[in-house]
Amino acid sequence: MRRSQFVQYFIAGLALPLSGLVFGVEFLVTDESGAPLENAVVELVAAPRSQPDTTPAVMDQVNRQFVPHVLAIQQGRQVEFPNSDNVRHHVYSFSPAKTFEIKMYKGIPGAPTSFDVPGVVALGCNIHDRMIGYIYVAESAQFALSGSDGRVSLPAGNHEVRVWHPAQQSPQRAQTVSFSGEQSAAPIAITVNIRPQP
Amino acid sequence: MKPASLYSKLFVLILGLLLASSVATLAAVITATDANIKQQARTRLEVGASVLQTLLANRAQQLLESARVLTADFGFKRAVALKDVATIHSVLENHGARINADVVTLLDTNGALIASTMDTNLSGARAQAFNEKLGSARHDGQQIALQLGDKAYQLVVVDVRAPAPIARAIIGFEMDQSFAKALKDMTQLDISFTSGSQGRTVVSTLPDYDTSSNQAFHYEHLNTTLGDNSSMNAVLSVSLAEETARFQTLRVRILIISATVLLGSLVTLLALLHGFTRPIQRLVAGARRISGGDYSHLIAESATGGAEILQLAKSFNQMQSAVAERERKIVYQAHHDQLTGLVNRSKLALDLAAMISASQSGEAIAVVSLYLQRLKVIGNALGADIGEALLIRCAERCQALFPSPAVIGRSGDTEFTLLVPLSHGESIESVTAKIQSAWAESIPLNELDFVIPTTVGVATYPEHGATIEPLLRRSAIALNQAVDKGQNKRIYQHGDDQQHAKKIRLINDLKNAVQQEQLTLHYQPKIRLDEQRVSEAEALVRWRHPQLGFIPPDQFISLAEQSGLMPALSRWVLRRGIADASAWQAGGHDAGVAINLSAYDLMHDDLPAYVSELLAEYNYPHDKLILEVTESAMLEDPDKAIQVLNRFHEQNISLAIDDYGTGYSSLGQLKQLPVDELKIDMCFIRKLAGSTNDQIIVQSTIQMAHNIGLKVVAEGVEDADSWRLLEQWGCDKLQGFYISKPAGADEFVAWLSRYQFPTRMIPGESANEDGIEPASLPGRKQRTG
Repeated sequence: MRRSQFVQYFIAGLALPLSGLVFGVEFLVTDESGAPLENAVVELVAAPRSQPDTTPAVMDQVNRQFVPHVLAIQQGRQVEFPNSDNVRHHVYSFSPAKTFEIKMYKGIPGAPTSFDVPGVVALGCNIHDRMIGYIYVAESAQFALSGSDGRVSLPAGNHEVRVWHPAQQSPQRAQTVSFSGEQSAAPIAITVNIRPQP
Repeated sequence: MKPASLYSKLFVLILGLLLASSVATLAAVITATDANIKQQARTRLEVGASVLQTLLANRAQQLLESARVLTADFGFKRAVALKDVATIHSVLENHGARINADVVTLLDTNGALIASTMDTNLSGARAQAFNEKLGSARHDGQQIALQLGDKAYQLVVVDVRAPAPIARAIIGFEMDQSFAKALKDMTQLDISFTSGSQGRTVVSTLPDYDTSSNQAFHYEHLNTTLGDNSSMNAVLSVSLAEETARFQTLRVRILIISATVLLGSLVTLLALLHGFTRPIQRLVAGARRISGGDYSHLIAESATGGAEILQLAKSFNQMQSAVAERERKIVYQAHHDQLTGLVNRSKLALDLAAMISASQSGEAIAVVSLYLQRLKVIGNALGADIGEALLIRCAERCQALFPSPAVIGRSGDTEFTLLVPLSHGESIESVTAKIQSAWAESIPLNELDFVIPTTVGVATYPEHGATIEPLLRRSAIALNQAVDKGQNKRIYQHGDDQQHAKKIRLINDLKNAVQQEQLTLHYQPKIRLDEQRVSEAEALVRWRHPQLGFIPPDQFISLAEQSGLMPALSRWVLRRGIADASAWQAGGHDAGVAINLSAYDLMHDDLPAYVSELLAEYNYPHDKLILEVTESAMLEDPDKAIQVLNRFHEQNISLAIDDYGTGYSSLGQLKQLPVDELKIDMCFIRKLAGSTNDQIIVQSTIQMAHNIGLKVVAEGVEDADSWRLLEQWGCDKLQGFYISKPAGADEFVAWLSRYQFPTRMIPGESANEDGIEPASLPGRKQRTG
C-alpha cells in the first residue's frame, strides 16, 4: 500500500511540472448520486506519447487481495505480480487486452508481464474467486487515478478525456468525455454510471 | 265441522316443531360442512402453495448453487473466454450434464445469445423470441420459470466471472410430469403449471386437466407464481369430491342421527300424547256412561295422567255417586206416594209388568182395586190430618195382610191397588175375604174408632188380561161396577168393559145432548083427591140418543152425577120445566110442576138463587113449584142439605121427599126437614091391592105423615082398587099409569084439556104404549165419592 501510494505520488510528481507549465486541469468523478468515486482512471486523449517506464509496475497480492485494486500503466509497461501471501495464487486474465496466466506460484514469479495493448485487464485468481483486480493500460502517458475525494488533476491540454471505473456499467470500455477548454477554478465534473451491486 | 281433537292438535304442533328443528339442524350442518369443505380446501391450498413456494425456492437455491459451482469452473471460464462457439457449446453440454441441467444457455454481458444446448440451430426469429423470453433474466442469481417450446423450465441466471462478469449463463431444469408428481407427493395437492395470461397448461398431475372444463367445478384452485416476475403459474388443485367424501360420512351420520332422533321423538310424542289423552278419553267415556245413566262403574283413579286428571277422575266419581243418589231419590219420589210410602200408579204398572214377566208358568196374579169408602167424608168432617192418618193406617194394614212379593200401590185418593200372586194357597176368594175381615175391624185413632167400609174390584192375570193395561183397567171397572151396584166386591166379568166403554161414551155424548136438544121432558100428572083435579105434573127427563136410542134415565143421570154434568142437567130441567109449566098455565091450566133435584144440587147453595131467577124470569108463582128430593140425597151432608132446603122453603117453594120407604130415615128425622110432602115409593103402591103388608105400611105411613103435618103422595097407582084404598086412607095425591103415563109437553097439555076427574072408579086402560116404561125416578143410587 505504501508502495502504491508512492507510485501515485510519483506519477503525480511527474505531472506537476507539466501542469505548472500550462496550467493543470482538475476533474471530479462522481456516481449518479454525486458521491465521489475512488479508483477512477482519467486519461487525456491524444496526449503526447512518450516511452513507458522501464521499471515494472507492481500488482501485489496481499491478504488474498490484489493491491492496488486498480493499477493504471502506460501502454507497453511491464508489471510484476509478487505474492505477499503465504498461500499460492494462480493469477489469470481472459481480458482481450491481455490474456495470461501465472500458475500456482509463491514469491516473485520469474519474469514481469508486459501489457502492450491498451484496454482494461481484469485480473483474477483461479484459486480465490473473490480476488479481483484491474490493470488499466493507457494509450497515452497523461492519466491519473482519483483519490477518495474523487478528484483527479491532469495537465491542461486536450479537451477530451477517457474515463473508466471498475464498477461502471460496461466494465470493458472506457467512456470518452469532452469538455470546454476555458479556464475555471472549479473541477470538471464527470459522472460515471455505476453497475448495480448484486 | 267437527273440531280437531286435542290429540291431533298437539301432535301436529309438536311434530312440526321437531321437523323444523331437524331440517334446521341438517341445513346448518350441510351449510357448515360446505363452508368447512371450502375452507379446508382453501387452507390446504394455501398451505400447499406455501410448501410449494418453499420447495421451489429451495430447489432454485440448489440449482443456483450448482450453477455457481459450474460457472466457477476455470475450464468453463476459459472456454467461455475463448469465444469459440463450438467449444463453448460442448462445454455447456458437458458441464450442464454434471448438474443434470436440461438447458444451459450462455449470453454475453449485453444479453446477446452466445450459445445454447437447447437448440443448436437457434437463429433468426426463433432466437429473437427466445431472447425476448429471457429478457427479464438479467440478473445474477435470478430464478424464473419459463415455457420453452412445449416444456416448462425452472431457470437460474448466473454470471460467468473471470473474475469480472464476462457472460451470463442461464441454466434450466425441466419441470416435467415426474417433478409435478414429486411435488404432488409432497404437498398432497394436484399441481399444474400454466403459462401466460391465458393460463395454458403445460404440465399437470390432473388427468386431462383443462381449466375451462367442468372439472373446474369439482376442484378448488389456487394460483401461485413461479419464481420472480415469471410468466408461469403453478395451479394447485384440491378435489372437492375428495373433501366432500370426507364429510359425506359425517353428513350421513348426522342424517341418520336426525332421522333416529325424529323417529324416537315421534314415538315418544305418540306415547306421551297417548298417555296424555288416554286418561281424558277415559274420562270422556266415563262422562258419556254417566250421562247414559249407567252408574255401575267407577272411573279408574290412576295417577298416570297426572294430578289434574286424577283430581278430575275423583270429581267425576263423586259426581257420579251424587247423581246416582239424587236420581235414586227422584226415581223413588217418582215411583212412590209420599204420604203412604206405597208405590204410585206408574210404578205399579212397572211392577205388574215385572210380575207378569216373572210369572212364565202362567201363575195367576190378582189385581185388586180397593176403594176406601167414607174416607173423604171423614177427612172433610174431621180434618185432613185424620183422613191422612187413616189412609196411612189402611196402607199399613194392606202391607201387613199382603207382604212382599205382593205389591201395594196407591192408585187414587182413597183407592189402593194390590197385586197379589195367587200362589202359596192364595185365591181370589181368600184375598177378598182377608180384606173384608180386616176392614170389618175398626181403626182406633185419637180415642175414636173409625169403621171404613171397603169396596173391592178384582181382575186376574192371565184370565182377564195378559198385559198391564187391561188388567189395571178391568180391575178398576170391576170396582166401579161394584160401587155402582152397591156391592162390596166384584170380580171382573167379561163384558164389563164394554158396559164401561158405553158408559164412557154416554158421558161424552151427554155433554152434547144437553146442548143439542136431545133431551126432552115428559110430564106425569098428580091428582089431588080432595079437590078432584090435577094439582101438578112431575117432570121426567128423557134422552133419545141419536144412535143408541132411548137411554133409561137412571142410567144417564147416574152418569151425569159421576161426570160432573149434574149441575148443567139440573139447570136445564128446571128451565125447561118452568118454561113448559108457565106455558100451560098461560093456556088456562092451573097445574103446577114438580122437578127432581139430585144429591149434588143439595150440596151446593147456588141453586136456590138460580131457581129464584127462573121464577122471576117466567113470572111463575112460587107456590106452583114443587122440588122433589130423595132421602138418600140428604144423607151425604144432612146439614148442608137442610140449609139448601130451607132456602127454597123461604121462597115459598114446596118440597117433597121422594121415594120414601126405601131409605133408612125415620119420620122423626123427616120432621126436622122443611118439607111439605111425602111421596111413598111405588114399590109399596103398585101391588097395593094384593098385598096386605103393603097396605099396612102405606096406611100407617099416611096416618103418621098426616100426624106430623105432611101431605102424602102415592106414586105408581096402576089400578082402581089401589086408588080406592088410598082414597079410603086419606092419601092426598095420586100419581101413576092408572091416571096417566108420562107424556111430552104438548101431549100432556092436550091430555090436561080433555081430562075429567072420574066420578067413579073405572079400571084404567093400560098406558103402556110406545114401549115407554113406567117412569122411575132418577138419582136413586148415589155413589159417595
